[in-house]
Amino acid sequence: MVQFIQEQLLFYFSLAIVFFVPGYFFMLAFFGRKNFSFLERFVVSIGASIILVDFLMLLIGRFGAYINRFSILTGVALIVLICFLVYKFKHNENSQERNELFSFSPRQVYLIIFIVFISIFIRTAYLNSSILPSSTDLGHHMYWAKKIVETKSIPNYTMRDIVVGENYAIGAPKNISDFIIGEHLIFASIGSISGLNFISYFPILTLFLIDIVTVLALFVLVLRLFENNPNAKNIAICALLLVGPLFAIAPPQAKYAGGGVIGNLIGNLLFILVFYFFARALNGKNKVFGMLFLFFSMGLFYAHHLTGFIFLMVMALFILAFFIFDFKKIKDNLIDWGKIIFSLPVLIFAVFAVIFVLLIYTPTYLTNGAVTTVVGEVTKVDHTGLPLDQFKSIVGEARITLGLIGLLLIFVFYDKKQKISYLLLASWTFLITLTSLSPQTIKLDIPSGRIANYGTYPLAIMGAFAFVSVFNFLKKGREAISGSGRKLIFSSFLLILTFAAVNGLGDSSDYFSEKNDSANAVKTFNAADYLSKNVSSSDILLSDHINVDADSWIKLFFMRDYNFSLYRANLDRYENGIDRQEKCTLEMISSPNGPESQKCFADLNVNFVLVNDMLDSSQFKRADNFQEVYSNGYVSAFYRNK
Amino acid sequence: MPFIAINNMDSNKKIIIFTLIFVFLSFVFLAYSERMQANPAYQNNWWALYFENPKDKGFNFTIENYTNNKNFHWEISNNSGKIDAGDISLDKGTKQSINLDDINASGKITVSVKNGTDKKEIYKILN
Repeated sequence: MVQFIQEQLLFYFSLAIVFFVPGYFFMLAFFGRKNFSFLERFVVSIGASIILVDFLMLLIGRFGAYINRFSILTGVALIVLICFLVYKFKHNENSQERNELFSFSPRQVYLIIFIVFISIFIRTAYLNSSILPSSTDLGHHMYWAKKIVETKSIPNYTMRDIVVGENYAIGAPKNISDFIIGEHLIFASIGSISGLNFISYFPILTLFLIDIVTVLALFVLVLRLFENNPNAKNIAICALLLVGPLFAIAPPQAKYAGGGVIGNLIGNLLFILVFYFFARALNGKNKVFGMLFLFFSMGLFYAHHLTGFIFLMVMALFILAFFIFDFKKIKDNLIDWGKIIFSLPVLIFAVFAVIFVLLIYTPTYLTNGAVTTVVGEVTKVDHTGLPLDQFKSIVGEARITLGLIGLLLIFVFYDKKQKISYLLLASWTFLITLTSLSPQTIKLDIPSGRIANYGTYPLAIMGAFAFVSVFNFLKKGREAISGSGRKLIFSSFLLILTFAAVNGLGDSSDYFSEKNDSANAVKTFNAADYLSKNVSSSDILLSDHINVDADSWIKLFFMRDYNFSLYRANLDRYENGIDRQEKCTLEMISSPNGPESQKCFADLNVNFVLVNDMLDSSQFKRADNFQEVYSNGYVSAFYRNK
Repeated sequence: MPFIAINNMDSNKKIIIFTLIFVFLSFVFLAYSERMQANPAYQNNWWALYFENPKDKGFNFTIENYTNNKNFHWEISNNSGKIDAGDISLDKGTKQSINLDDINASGKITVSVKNGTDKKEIYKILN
């Protein structure tokens, strides 16, 4: 128990250092206590901290120093000190300015707190079954985070794969483009500071925190986008309802936290904050906000390229829409934008960004040309667009219904004073819908299901806008409406609310029925621990992704290579002609006695195999040259006699 | 007094404080739950059997017990029949090695262990 408490204290200390402290002082240095409400400052500080810690670790790594607890804490302390001195020098006010937009009535406060409570409660209930880390993606990511902690340096994203020739061989390390450094640095920093084991609660709790902050960030964004709308607070609360407790588990929320879809989760938070600063920079013609827009955009591109790519497309569509809708004022708008773009803060940061990308760390997807793989003709079946029904089930029926009504209404209630917000939201919603349903229209080669998940946030905002606008419109005219008419309006209000609640909560209940057996993961870890003590550096281990739970975590017991152990992948990976060029890993488990398998075993020096005891051990038991050396009822390990 | 202090607090601060309290409670609960789930002995009913050294010609093996049943019966045999056998008692969450250094056999040597009705086997093939 004492150890648990000690671990917990270290974990919360690490979270504060990585997720709050540097960002808080960073914002303080730029704005003092002005321009932000407490809530905004809290949310923005978390996003800024993630980026600052990323940049700090990249800098430490670039200059050849060790990335460890001491260097990270020292770096954060320096950031805090510099920012504090700037704050003291530049700003001498002590009191927080009051912001009416963020002043809520007691009823609103209780409602918001209640919504937040339910949001956290549902996620907690779901994550309880997956809190023991076992998901494939998270295992892959944590390998790299642990690598940073163990090597105390920025990793080269490479792996050694099977080379097919006259003989099979384990090839030289090859670059892989699946990972982005920003996905791993925050976990590495928490791991370094706290010393916690990567196979523990901390990765999923960290993702859970990001998810909750994203929900709050959306709330803050909605308030700012609709700051000139008298119903801004109601729209924000309604949006909070549509992403907080309703559809709480569906991707990209708790399901992604439990599943370790790190890039999307960090990307979504930064994406929202990028739009937040974009709207504030343009609405307020504020150069420092313009600089922060760039800062958060840069952080986004260091965290997740797909989200960054979608952000660029939304921006392109927004710029097009903006100039079309405000064609008469194109010159004035260009001058306004030019004043921000060519301002000193923006230019200084742009120079910093270029230097950073060129000299400190270039994201791997730029160096290995991964960008070109997402643009062009569609190459895979799951990239061809979703049927409407599937899109509906991904983003939620209530959200898409209300959201698309909102998309129409935003033009019905189009207000020139709020053109930036309205057009940004319309561009965001329209682009995600289009790329999910018909990616070939804009020559995009990305999994359509993953794009559809990006619809969650804009459709929730649009849905909230539709809901509040319609009822506000009807409320305004209620004096002209008879008593029965008013009852009808009230009934409709309740009906839609009930539909959204039933749909949103029902959607979550589906995920609760998913079976997640942590006991199997514990057995896999026990076997992996045994093997890590007995597999020598010349031995190769083969495991199985199809029938062994938590298999992607086995590599964390060895830390030899991203592709160690070798593993039998899902069968379609061998058939699509893209993912797997070899069949050794398939054959060696499916038919270990076959001549091709025997050649694979011998050429590759695969001496240990870990398989599901019930489903795949029989073929090894029948073979003369394998001996069963470990068994726990769920997995068995075999050693090959040479 | 603390209640009055909260009542007079800025609405933003209230939202943040309550959010942090909920997050903290949730995190403590989930962290504790994970520690329990990661403990092989907690709510799990399984045991493991393995050779001490999978590569050599020795038959020393280990049993790790995560069941409530303490009693294990083991046998070592080859194609000709039983070579040795024994019983051990293992508390839940403990493990024990059985040393069989004096056995000199060849062929398929199987270690069978029974825990109640559950039986596991590991084997080596020695030429």
